[in-house]
Amino acid sequence: MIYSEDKFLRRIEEEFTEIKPGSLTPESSMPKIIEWNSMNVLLFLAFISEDTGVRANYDEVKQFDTLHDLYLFLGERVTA
Amino acid sequence: MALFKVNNIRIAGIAATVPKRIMSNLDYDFVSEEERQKIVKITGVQEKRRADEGVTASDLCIKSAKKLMDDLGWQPEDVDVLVFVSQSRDYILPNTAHHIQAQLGLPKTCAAFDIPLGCSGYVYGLFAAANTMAAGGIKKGLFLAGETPHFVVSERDKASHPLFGDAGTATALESSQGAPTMYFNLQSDGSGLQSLYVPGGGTRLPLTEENSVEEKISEGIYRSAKHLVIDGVKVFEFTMREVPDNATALLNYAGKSTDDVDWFVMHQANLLMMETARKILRIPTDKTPYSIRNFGNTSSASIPLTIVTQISANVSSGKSNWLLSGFGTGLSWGSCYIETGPVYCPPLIEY
Repeated sequence: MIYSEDKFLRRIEEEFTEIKPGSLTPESSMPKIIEWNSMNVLLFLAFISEDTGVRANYDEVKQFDTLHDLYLFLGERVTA
Repeated sequence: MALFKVNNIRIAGIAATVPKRIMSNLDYDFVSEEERQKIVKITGVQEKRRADEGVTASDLCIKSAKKLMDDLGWQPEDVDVLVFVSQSRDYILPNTAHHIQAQLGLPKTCAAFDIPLGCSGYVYGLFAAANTMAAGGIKKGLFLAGETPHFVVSERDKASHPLFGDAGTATALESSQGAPTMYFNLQSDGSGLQSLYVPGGGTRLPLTEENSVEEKISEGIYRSAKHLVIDGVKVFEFTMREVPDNATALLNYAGKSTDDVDWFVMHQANLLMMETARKILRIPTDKTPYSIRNFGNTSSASIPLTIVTQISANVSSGKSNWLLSGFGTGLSWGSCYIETGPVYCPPLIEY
C-alpha cells in the first residue's frame, strides 16, 4: 500500500461523508459501512484506483468481510 | 492487435449541432433531491439537449455538414465518401447515409454507408472514413456522427435518463500529401454485450405488446424491452480496465508519450469514469476538455462536440496533437493519435 492502514480508513471516511469520521476500524464490516448501491460502488472503485493505483472490480471487493482484508488485498495488488 | 496507420489524410474542419431545447437534471423530479445531487456529481451532467419530435440525428448532422461545407468552400460534387456513424437511424432500411447523401446534394459517384456504432463510433468512423479515402485516393470525404439517444432511454430510469443528450456533428476530411500519419488502436469484446444494450426491437427479440410494457427492474428503474439497459458498475470496470491500456498501447505504437499530447479528448461517458481514466493515464486536467456538464453523453458525437465547444479556439489557430478515445456499447473501444494543422470549427450550431 502507498500509505498506512489507518490512513486508508480515514481516507474512506473522507470520501464517504455518510460515514462518521473516526468510526472505522480494521475490523469494520465491509458490507455494513455504506449502502452498496451502484453509485457508491462506482465511487468506491474510483477511490481505490486513485489512491492505490489498483484497478479492482466489484466482485473482488465484495468478497472481503472486513476493511483489513481489503487493505491486505490491495497491498498485494500494489506490490504484485 | 488491430493497430493501424492512415497516411495523407487531414482533418479540415469539425462542426457540431445541438437542439435548442435544454433539459436540466436539477429538474428531474423522478428521483429525490438528494439523489439528483448525487447523479449530477457522479455523471457530471447538469443539463443536456433534447431534439423536438420529428428531428432526427441525421437532421442534426446535415445541419453541421452544410455549415462546414459552406464555410470551407466545398462543392457537393467534390465529396466522394460519406460515412454516417449512428445508432439512431432514420429507417430500418436503407442506411441513413443515403438519405443524407441526397439531402446534401452529393454526387452519385459518392460512396455512402452507415456504421451503427455507439460511444466508440467517432474513433472507428474516423478510421473507416480516412482509410477509405486513402485507399481510393479520394480528395474529400465527410464523416458524420450523431445520436438521439432519448428514443431508447426510459424516462423512468434514473441510471440512463439523466445521462444522455442529443447532438449531430460533421468532420471534413481532405487528402493532403505529407499530412502527419493518423494512428488507430481498435478493440472489441462482445462478451460484455449485456452491460450496455437495447434487448428488443431487432430480429433476435422483436417488440410485442407484452414486452413493450415498462416493468419495475429495481428502485428508480422502469424499462421495457425497447429501452437501453446499463449495468453501470460493469461499464465502469470495463472503462477502467481497458481504456487507459488501449491508449497507452496506441501511444507506444505511434512512438509517442502522454507528454506529446496537447488534447486528450475522451468520449463523454460519465465524469467519474473519465476522471478515473485520465488519472490512470496521468494526463493533466488542462489537457482534458469536458463538455458533459452542458450536453451529457451524446454517444459518437461527444468527441467532436467537445472539440467544438471546449477547444475550438486552440485547435483552429495552429497545430496540435490529439489523443482521442471512444468506448462503450459492444463492448467496443478504440483510440486515435493525430497531429493536426489548424482545424476549422464554426461556433456551435443550434437547431
